[in-house]
Amino acid sequence: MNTQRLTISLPNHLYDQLMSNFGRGQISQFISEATEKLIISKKIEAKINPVEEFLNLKKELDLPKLTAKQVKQAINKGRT
Amino acid sequence: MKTVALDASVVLGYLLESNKYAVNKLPTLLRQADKKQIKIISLPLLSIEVANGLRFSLKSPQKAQVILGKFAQLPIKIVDLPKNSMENSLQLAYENETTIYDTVYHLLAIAHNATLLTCDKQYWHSAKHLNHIELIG
Repeated sequence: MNTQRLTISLPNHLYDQLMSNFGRGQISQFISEATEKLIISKKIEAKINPVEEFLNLKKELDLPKLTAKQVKQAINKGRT
Repeated sequence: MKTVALDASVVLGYLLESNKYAVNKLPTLLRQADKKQIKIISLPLLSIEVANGLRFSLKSPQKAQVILGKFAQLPIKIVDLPKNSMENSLQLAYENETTIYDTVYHLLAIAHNATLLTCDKQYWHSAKHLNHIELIG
C-alpha cells in the first residue's frame, strides 16, 4: 500500500493515551483505521441526512449560477 | 432558542449562487436547525416561491422536482400567519411601498419575535426600520 507521511498536532491528553495504549510503532495504523472509519461514517451521515442531501444538490445537479436580479425575476414571474 | 424566518431569496440565493453570502449562511443555519440549536420558520408561500423560482431558472423539470422534494424535508417549520395579519400586511405594504408577498414574511418574523433573513436588498431597504430583518449580502 502506498503511504504518505504527514505531521499532525494533537492535544496532550490524546497523545498520552495514544502512546500508552498503542505505542509508537502502532500509531500510524491506529490513525489510519480511525480516519477511515470516520470518513465512512461521515459519508453515510451525509447520505441519510436531509440537510446534507439538499446542500449537496447544488454540486450534484450542476445548477446554473444566476444573478440576484435573475433570481428575483424568477420568483416573481407570472405575478404581473 | 433563537428563531429565524426565511424567504425564497435565501434558498434560491444558495442553490443558484446568486448571493455568495447565502451560499455560506444557509448551510450553517440548516445544520444548526437540524441540531435544534435554532428554529427556522417560514410560510406556506415559501415552497410556492421556491418552486416558481426553479420553474423559471432551470430547464430540467426533473432537477426542479428533485430539489423541491429534498427541500420539503428540510428542518423548516411552516406556519401560518396569525389571524388578522393580512390587514396588518396591507397596511405595512402601503406604508413601505412593498409587495404583500415580501411583507408577509416580515410580518411572520415580527409575530414570532424572530429575524427575517433575506437576500432581497430592495425589500430590506424599504422595511428595515421595522426591525426583525437582516440582509444577507
